[in-house]
Amino acid sequence: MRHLLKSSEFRITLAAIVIFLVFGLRRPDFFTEIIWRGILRAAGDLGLVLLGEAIVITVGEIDLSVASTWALCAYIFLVLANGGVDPMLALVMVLLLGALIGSVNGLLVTKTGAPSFLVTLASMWVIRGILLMISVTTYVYLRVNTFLDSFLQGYFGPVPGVFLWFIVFTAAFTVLLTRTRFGNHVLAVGGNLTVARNIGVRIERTKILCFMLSSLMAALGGIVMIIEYKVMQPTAGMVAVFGAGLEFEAIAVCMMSGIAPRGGRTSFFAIFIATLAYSSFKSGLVLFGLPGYWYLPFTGIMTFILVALHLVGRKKD
Amino acid sequence: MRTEAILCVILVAAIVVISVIEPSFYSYETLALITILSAELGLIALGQAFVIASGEIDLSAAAVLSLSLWVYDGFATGLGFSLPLAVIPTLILALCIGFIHGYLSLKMDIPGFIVTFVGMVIWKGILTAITQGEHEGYLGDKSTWFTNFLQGYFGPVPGVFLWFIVFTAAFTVLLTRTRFGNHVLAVGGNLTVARNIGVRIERTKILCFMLSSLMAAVTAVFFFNRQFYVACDVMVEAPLFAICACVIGGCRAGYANILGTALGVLIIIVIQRGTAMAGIPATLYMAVVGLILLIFATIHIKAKGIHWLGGRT
Repeated sequence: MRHLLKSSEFRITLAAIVIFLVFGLRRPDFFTEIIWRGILRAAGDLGLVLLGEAIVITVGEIDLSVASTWALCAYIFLVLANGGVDPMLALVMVLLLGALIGSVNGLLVTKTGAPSFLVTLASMWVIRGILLMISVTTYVYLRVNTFLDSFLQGYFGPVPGVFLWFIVFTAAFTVLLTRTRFGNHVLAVGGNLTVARNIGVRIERTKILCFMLSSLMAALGGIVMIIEYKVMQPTAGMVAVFGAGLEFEAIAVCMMSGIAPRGGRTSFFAIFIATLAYSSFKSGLVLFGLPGYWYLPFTGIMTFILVALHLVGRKKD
Repeated sequence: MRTEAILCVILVAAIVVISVIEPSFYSYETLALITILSAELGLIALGQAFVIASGEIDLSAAAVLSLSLWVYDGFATGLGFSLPLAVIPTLILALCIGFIHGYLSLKMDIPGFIVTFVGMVIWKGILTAITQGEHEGYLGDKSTWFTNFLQGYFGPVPGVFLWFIVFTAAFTVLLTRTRFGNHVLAVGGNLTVARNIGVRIERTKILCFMLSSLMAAVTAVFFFNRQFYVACDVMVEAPLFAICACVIGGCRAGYANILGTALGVLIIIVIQRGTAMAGIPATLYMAVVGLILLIFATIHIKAKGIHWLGGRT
């Protein structure tokens, strides 16, 4: 029982239930199909990017460039698909581009010795700069319909497909982290670098792979986004000039889930619940008619509250 | 060769190259503007240098700057404080914000850049929500002695640049000649050693965050006395540029070079004005700053053969 009370999964589930109850009791229309479609959709869209960010945090690094990668990959996919490239081929090419960006990030972090927040802060600006340079117009449209529409974004009954993909990927990442050699290495490197090195873990390789996974998931998230909305702005995911975009949401939700901020401990189930809680919180604020300006500060404050919730009664290690 | 000498060469080279490409660059107006912009960015960068030296990073400078602008204007216009008197509550508020950042970072054991990242979103979000993202001009007296004191020209040199030089000197003394500066370098350099020799780590780190927020508020006072308007999105790129300037100067956990940071600020602003005058789009400039950041971070690390985060990793 005490073990249960201390687990981050239990605490975040509790927080999610409180959020559901507060919104549900105040606004009975919170528990309607149309609202929950939106919530699940938003959770899926954000969740795919988030899983990658979580694995980078687990290995003890940070990736601030996910939003830029997400937007660039969405744009490249759009250009390829509009240009008549086979959608499956375009998908593979863009995912490879994502992996490439991630490997560059990872190589820079491991080979130069510069901390990852500096490297990815720089690459966030470089990638966004490239995107804004190659895209000329304010809005770009995806003009073709492909089989990917139903494959990635179709509905299974009332449940949006992207949410099911989020469930699938959450399960896959859980297996990856807890049942494979790679996952074991990720936890070792994030938990204690010296020990990991001494038992023979190839630290650089592990870190580079994590950055690749993160950018890969950002690329996938970008493709899913462009298939869903069919239109994007090259500035998408970037509120104002600096920060507070998708990378902010990704990091904030990771922190809400009770992840160890310096790496070594994570629970993808808790992240799954935190994503659900976050996106229902956002939809709830809309239901209450709160002006859009208030989302971000409320999200930030909620982040600190939930981090504090995870700290209650836990010994500092 | 010393870092400062190399940076001076780079600075002069940048000015010469840009002047050749764009002859109108080498004029009094442009150079005066460069000194003003450098001073405003530089004040933020000086605070940032201390945070970086203590092994953390502060991403909230722009948000604190905008918030301080509104508070300053609120006290000056709304409550009828005189301009010098309104400085006091502005600085106090900034100190409080810095304290909150440092305290949360240490109590929750979250890296400082995540706390200040979330903090930035909160402060800026609250500010934007309350003011609805509007701009506002100051209607009071714009030529008081205080404004002249801060912004008056000293011969051909803008007064704010002289203030920047004064602050640079003061921060150099603070870093190299005081107990606090010594503690900052110790905490950034090796946390375990610092703890063992009795440095109060929490206090030192929190003071660094407070110093950084304070400098953002000081910048807000200078900015207000030059532009006389308030907005929610003033100098949004300031944290990135300030970090970049510190990295160019060679700052890292456990080491800070204040003069190098000041030169880094000048280099960044010269390149910024130069590219702007040459008609290069601002988006491309963002990418260029990102690249400069990466290159200098790598150069300094390779030259010294140490890890950027000092003893922490």
